[in-house]
Amino acid sequence: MTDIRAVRTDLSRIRRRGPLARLGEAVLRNLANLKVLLRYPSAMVGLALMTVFIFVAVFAPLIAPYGPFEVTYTAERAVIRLSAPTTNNLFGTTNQGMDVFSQLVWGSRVALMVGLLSALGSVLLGTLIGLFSGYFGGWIDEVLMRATDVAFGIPFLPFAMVVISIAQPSLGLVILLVIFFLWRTTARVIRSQVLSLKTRPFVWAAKAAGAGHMKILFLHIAPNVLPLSFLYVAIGVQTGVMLEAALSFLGFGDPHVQSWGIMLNAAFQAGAMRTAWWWVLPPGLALSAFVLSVFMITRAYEELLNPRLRSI
Amino acid sequence: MTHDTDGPGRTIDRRTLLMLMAATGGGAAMSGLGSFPAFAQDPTIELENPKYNRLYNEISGYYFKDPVWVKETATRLTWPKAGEKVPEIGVIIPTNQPDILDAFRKFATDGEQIGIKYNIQQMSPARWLETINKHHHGDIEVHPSILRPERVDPAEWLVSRAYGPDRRNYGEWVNEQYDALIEAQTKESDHEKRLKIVKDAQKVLAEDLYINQLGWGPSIIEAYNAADWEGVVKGRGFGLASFNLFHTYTRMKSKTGKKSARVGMSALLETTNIIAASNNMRSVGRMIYDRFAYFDENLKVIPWAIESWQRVDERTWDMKLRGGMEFHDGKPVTVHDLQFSLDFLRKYERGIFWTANRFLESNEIVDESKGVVRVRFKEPYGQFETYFLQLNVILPRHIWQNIMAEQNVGDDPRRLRIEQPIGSGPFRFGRHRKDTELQLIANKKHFAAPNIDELWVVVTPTLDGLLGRMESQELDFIENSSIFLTPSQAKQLERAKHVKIERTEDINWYHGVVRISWMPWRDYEFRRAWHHATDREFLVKVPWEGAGRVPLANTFLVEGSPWYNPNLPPIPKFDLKLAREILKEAGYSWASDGRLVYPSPDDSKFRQRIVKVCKEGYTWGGLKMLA
Amino acid sequence: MQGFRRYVIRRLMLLVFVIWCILTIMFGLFQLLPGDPTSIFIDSNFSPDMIERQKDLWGLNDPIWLQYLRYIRNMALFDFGQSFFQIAPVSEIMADKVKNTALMIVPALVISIVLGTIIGAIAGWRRGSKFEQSTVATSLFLHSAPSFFVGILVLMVFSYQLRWLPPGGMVSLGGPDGFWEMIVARDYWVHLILPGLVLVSREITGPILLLRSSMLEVKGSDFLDILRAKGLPERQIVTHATRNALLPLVTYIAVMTGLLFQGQVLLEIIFAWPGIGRELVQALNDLDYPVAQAALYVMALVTLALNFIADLLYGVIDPRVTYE
Repeated sequence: MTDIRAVRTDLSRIRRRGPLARLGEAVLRNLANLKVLLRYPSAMVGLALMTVFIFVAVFAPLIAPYGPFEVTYTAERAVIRLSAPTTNNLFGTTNQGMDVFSQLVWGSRVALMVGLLSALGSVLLGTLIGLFSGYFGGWIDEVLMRATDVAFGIPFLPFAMVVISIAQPSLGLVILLVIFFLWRTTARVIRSQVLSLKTRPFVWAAKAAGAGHMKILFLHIAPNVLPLSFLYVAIGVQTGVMLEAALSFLGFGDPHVQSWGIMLNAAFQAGAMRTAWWWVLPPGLALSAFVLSVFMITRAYEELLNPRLRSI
Repeated sequence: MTHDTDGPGRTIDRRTLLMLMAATGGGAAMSGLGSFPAFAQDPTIELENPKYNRLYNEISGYYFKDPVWVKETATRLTWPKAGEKVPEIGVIIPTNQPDILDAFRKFATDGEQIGIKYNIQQMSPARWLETINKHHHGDIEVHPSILRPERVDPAEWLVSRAYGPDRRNYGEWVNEQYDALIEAQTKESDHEKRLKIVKDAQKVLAEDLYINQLGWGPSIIEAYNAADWEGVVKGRGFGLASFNLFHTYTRMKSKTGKKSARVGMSALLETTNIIAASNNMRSVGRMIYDRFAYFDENLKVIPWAIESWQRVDERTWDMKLRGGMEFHDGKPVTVHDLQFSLDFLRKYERGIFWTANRFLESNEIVDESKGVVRVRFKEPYGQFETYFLQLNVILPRHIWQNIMAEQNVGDDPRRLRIEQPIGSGPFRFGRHRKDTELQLIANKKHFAAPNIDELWVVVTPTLDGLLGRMESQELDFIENSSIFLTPSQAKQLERAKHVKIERTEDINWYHGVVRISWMPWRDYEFRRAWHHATDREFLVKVPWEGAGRVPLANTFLVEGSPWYNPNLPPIPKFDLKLAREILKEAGYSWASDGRLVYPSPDDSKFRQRIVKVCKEGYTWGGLKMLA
Repeated sequence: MQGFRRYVIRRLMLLVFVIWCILTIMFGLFQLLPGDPTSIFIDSNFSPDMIERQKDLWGLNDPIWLQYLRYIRNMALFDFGQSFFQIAPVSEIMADKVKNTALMIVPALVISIVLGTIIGAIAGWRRGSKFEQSTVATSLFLHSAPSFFVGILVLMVFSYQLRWLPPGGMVSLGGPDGFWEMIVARDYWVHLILPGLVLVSREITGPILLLRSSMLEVKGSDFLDILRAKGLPERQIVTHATRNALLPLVTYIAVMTGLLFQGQVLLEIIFAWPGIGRELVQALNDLDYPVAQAALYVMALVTLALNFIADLLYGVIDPRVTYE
């Protein structure tokens, strides 16, 4: 309970600060809403899992005993190659003598980074496009929606493979591609939401009071679509991580970072799938668990937004 | 290309350039899109020896005619200012070579200790190939040796990778003494004399520290199903399951009465037209069409479709066709087919066959009853046995003589569609399903007729799939252009009772060549230090899991090759301290952030080394520093 | 009806416009960025005049606008040119690969949709039951596991360890050829089991969750009460409810098919299935531009066509949709 109260006092302070702060207030209100999620057991599990991932990612340098590409040696300077789990190498080692546990830990950073950046980027882009398109209508709507149509027609995975093989594999490029792929859904959903919102009385009232377009759009309409945007952030995190893993597995990942997809790719390329279970299962399960945790949170949040699903 | 990039001080604005490109250029011109500003004020790059001008000015889109190359190169031909840091060393590694990436991670860590910073990037294999072909790869070009029969001949590597006038000399090394030796060996048809020249050329190469042999390997480790098959043939450098040296498939015997063997491959032929074929079909195609001569398992030249050959003089040979051969459709192979093949390949082809036949001047039937054809070359020819006879194949005249007109492909045989190739080789082309399978049926009438009845090539795109199928006995062999096993993979497969692991003596190498025409590589002392800062043992011990050799010398023709020179200067030992000392001695210093700084611009010894590029005693004929 | 026709025409025009945009983007990607596509194809043994001839042959020496126009025309006519490496018309290669991919995903889709609809409907109707809870939990879990990971696991267990099922490919060596021959052959279905299983395990979760949700919505709406008041038996009410809940599924199926068609590349590689995705990866590795281009284009076309159909179907099925 203390949290909520803290948030509220925050809100009251913000309220006095003017328009921009009011948008911030809406964001915080939505965050506070998240608290309701705790009523859903699956969401609790999801949140708990996510907390673990975040903790691991933040403290990766302290948790991981080795670097992501560090070769581990025995006392006699022999490479510890394809070793099953031991106390020294908790999850065993790869064919290059790298510590699987450390790679897994470092990989959580990449997962979170890819997930968050691609989700935030795509939702920001999608929401803005949806807002403008829905609110202004006319040729702006036409242009933006045709762009969305085009984006919907582009097959993501093949397109990403083409772009990466033409340019060079890098994490930034992967994130950009995922953003490019994800914004389209958000844009459409937000637009239809805005279409219905702009006929509501409070928008009229604002207009009557002489508010400018931007003010109406960002202070009156935007706060009302935020919950939906939040939903798409969650969906984006999940999709982004999955796509990065798929691309990495196909060999289009950034060779300079150690992600779970890249670990799976390395194990697959080394032909170690059938023997080195300790190398294959951790990244595969981590990936599944990460996606699952986001998914659980998303489902609960979705039901929260759509009360009909909650009824009975 | 009509516009001239040589003219000094000539300026072309963006619009004019676009119009020029629209009028003249396709892809080649477009690649210059990113660099107009530099293009407009390019300084003139010159060569020390104008003899080499031809290559640098010859092809549209390359060298002087490639604005990207000019821009990149000009920056590195500029004299460093006082206190200037040695730039980042750019390396591009193809994505299918993770072992080399691992090695370079280590080299980069070591490099930091002597102030050298690497910029390592990865590219898809195809893009990488494109990049090195255009010499856009930065400082260091790395690649493995991939052995094919024609590459047993020393010229394949010595010429293509280091000869001044060759486009594939990726570091643009122009050592005039070396080039003279290369020209001499091409024309030396006496084996012993040629061997001597080749050995001398290797010595020059090793002394000038142009190539850096990173590892000799990886070793050839293969697994096969020994429960069903025996009598496999291990070919030196090729292994036992290679289609390039396919003696296993003709000589192996069944232990169980099974007559059909299965070979796994990660990708199969792209085309069944042997003339257009690259890697896979080059080898599979030569199981279907007979080559003139071949190698035995010890890399000794043996007769194949040509039963014997007689040197008449240094430009002329008599070749005698083997008697009693038949094409797969039952028609006999005659001396006319042989003559036709040479005429056809010489007339139309401009690719790999062209390389084999461009020195051919004439061929005539001298004795039809005995099947003798006399071939005459334009100049003395050193590569007759190990190149000319290896690459050429016998095409059936009755099928091919009108094929160009019938298929309406102009004069480009690479566009021919040949669905069901017919040759005279030990295997007949059977059922083929793209990306799935190929059946090769034994030609029991062949002089090297296989003991088995058929060979199925099974396409399995992943390594995991190949190994899994080997374990579950669905594959008998894994064609080794797809993969050499690592020791840990071999260990894993060995647990299956039917699998036997064999190791064959290899002549593989993996090397890096530096852009020797650029700063800082022009400085022999810098190169020397860099060689001492390369931890070759790491590559062999860790990424290759010990399956390889730490190189003994900087040469392409490694120990085990018939052309190896055992008396080369030894490879510089890995010693970071020594590397640092060499640099210090040569006038280099270190900035506060640890990065290496060039010697002072008025250090005359330094200037002299940069101008001379080559080691003391050799003459540099390549790119000059800018004034 | 007038309105419907106008709607269809408008959608069609839009479709053409979108295809044109995508083609243009692809042209830019393939033509401008990678520099000179000939340098990869051209054997290092090629003589300079041969290089020029090859460029002429591919039209690479033509001005860029001419290349663009030719490209648009060819793509519109499904004339994808010749493969750089395979010496065969690309359209021929594409037809074969599309067929193979369809042979993998269509059966899996049918099963996923039918089974998923039934399970989802039941789960939604029995809100709060053990069945519903376990269905949702399982679906979430299945949906979270990356398909390539699951693919490798099932391969490991059923092919390499237990040896019950073939480790990949569409048919056994020398197996049946040709479309009809293949789909009646037991061999093909046996090869389909593993990739099919992986596909279904993932794709079925969509219809389940969707049907469950829409069932909940329908169940909460008033019209069921009206039906009940009419005294209809409970089973008929369920059928009615399902029919209404099916509406969103129609759109979903079309979109899902499109997504699946472009996303199955991982499974095609793992299961050595010679489909269009694997062809694209191969073409990218070889820089066989005509093939890569055509594969990307065909995948985009399939997606667009399915979206288009979904739009129309939605209009036909849902009487509430108007076309103005």
